[in-house]
Amino acid sequence: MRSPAGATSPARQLACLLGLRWRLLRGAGQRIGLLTTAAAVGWLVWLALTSGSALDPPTLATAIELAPAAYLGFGVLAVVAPLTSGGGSEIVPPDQLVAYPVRPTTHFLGGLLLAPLNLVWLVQLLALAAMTAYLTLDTSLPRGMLTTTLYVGCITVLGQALAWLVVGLRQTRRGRRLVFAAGAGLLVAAVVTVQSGQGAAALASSPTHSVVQAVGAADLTRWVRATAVLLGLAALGAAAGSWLCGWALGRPGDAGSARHLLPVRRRASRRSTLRELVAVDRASVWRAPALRRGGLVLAVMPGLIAAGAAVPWQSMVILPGLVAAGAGLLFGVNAFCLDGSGALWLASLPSEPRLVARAKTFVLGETVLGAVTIAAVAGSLRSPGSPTVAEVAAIVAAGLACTAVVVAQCMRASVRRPHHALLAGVRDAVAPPGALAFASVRLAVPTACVGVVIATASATGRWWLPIVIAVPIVLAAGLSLNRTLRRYGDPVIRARLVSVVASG
Amino acid sequence: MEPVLLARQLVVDFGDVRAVDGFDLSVGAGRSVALVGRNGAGKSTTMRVLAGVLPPSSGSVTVAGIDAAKDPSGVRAVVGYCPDVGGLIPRATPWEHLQLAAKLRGMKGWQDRATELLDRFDLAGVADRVTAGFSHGMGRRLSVVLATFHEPRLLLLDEPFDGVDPLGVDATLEVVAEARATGAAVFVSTHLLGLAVRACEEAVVLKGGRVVGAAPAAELTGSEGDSRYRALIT
Repeated sequence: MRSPAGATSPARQLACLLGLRWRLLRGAGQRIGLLTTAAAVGWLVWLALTSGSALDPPTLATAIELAPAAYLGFGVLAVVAPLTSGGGSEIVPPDQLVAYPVRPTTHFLGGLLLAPLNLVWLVQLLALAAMTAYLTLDTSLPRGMLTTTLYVGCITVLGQALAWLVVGLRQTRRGRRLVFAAGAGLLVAAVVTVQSGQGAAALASSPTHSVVQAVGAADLTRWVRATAVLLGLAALGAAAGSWLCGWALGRPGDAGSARHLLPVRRRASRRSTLRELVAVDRASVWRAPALRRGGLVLAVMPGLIAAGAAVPWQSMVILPGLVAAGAGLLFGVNAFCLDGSGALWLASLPSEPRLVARAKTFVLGETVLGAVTIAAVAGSLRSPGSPTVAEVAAIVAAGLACTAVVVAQCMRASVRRPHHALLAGVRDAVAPPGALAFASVRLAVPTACVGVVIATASATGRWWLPIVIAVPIVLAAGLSLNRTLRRYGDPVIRARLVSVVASG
Repeated sequence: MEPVLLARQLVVDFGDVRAVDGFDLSVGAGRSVALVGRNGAGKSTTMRVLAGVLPPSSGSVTVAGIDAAKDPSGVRAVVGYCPDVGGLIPRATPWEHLQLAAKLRGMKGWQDRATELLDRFDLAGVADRVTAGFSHGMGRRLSVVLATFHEPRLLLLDEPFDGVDPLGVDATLEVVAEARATGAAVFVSTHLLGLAVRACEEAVVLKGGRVVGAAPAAELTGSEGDSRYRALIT
């Protein structure tokens, strides 16, 4: 930071932190990559906005019918994402900022600014851009764009504000109970609504209908009214969020909010060194608040959403890929950060060096496969009818293939691009925001491709075809993993990795 | 008699930066040597090389007759290392660290030794708390416990006194004395000259990755010793 003393306003502090993060990017390649990605996203949004005339009338009508659900989906993501990360992402890890007078508003604005560094957020943004194009075919595209942009901003701001409220409430036992009760109540209400066949009616009464009508409104008064409401809500949310952020960060926590001060149950020694390392790594994952919360959300949310939507068996084949990619982002893309500064001590112990990497691979594999299995089972609970053998084989094959791909990609990234990460609080991430965004693309693209290919294969009705496709994918992932483990075996590469995860 | 630690012409390069430049050292059984110098002198890098964590760019290290380049795992089996930065797995407890060390080192019946060390370093009460909640001093003390747990032939302590209270310092000095009494060699890196003198009989002064002086530790005490030391490091 050039002049922390002079950076008093949140905007200047934010500029300072962004400048620092920019300078911390490793080499010109990363900067060019970031700028290229931003330009590519802008280009894709432009393509989506100009795609209105590309659809035939029946498809267009269906798309417009789905618009309120698409806007609602974006809203759900905008609320859930910051909730899982305890108020949103951080430009610079909080532990590195303790010596600086960074204002709560700066933290809040930083989280807002980083919200788009999320593949799902971007994909949904593209969907909303396309919807805007469809809704404004007969009216004004610029007006529709403004309303959609305000909706995106408004719902992102409100999601962040709600997340900070939850962070603040969870500092006390009473608050945690309240949050749990509210979450459980919402879940029960959702299940009851869907089970009683009222899901469609609930969707029909969603406030996003008003937004959709405003986007495509020919009547200027109606558009102005709805757009002004969104603007007002965004401003209100920003003010409330900023205040709530300060309140949450300044609120003293009780003993329960600092679990690391409580003793844990002593476990028996494991039979082998690998199992002992696995036990320590597994504990390192589940004792990290950010990973515990992220893992639970990841395992439960996609399955619940799929169950709520009663996704057909054939479409369920896509689900493992989505969940596996998300599970990899939990800690897999920087798996060695679990050891923290203990990596130095571990490296001085007389074990076969690759054992440490094998333990990480095992824990990552079981985490990804566990999340995929939970999501697939939960998601299929309300799938209509019984699955064919080909569909079951495809879901299993997609689950195994995507898990293998994600584990191989994650271990490769962990060895090639390690980062120091404390993972002490719910807001701590395993890697800087930009690195996570790149990693999400690297994981989502291959897993989505695998899912689509296997889904296409299952549509032929041949039960063996998805398995035949999955086997070489798993083998290729295995070979890649083997190369990574060999690379980790190189003392120079391992020393560099250990040094980075231990001290940054 | 063959020295426990023998380092010859160690060089460590990080790209264009030479962190350690021709480091030579020999430490015999039952001897203790302090590595002193300013921040950035290359002390921790040297310690990492001796611990087998960082391969040297050139040079050789032999510990208890084992060549580190030929049998790195064999060297690590006889070395106990307390790293400079934490050196603890953040979400594992002290007991889990000891459990893991015992398994990786193939130790049997280690529990009594573990309990005794945790007691001595006043960590028995927090043996089942994750180390992420530890103060800096507590972390340092646990790192020393882990380094000495298996009664190594070579004890490498990197900044073991940093932020440690007087009782913790006494416990560490006691461990150093015990290690020497059992024939182990002890190598302590620190920037706290007073404690280096208390812990060790000899001192090696490092500057810019090079050894610029070596003397009996006692000669670095008092105002004359302090002036001599300052002259070496500036």
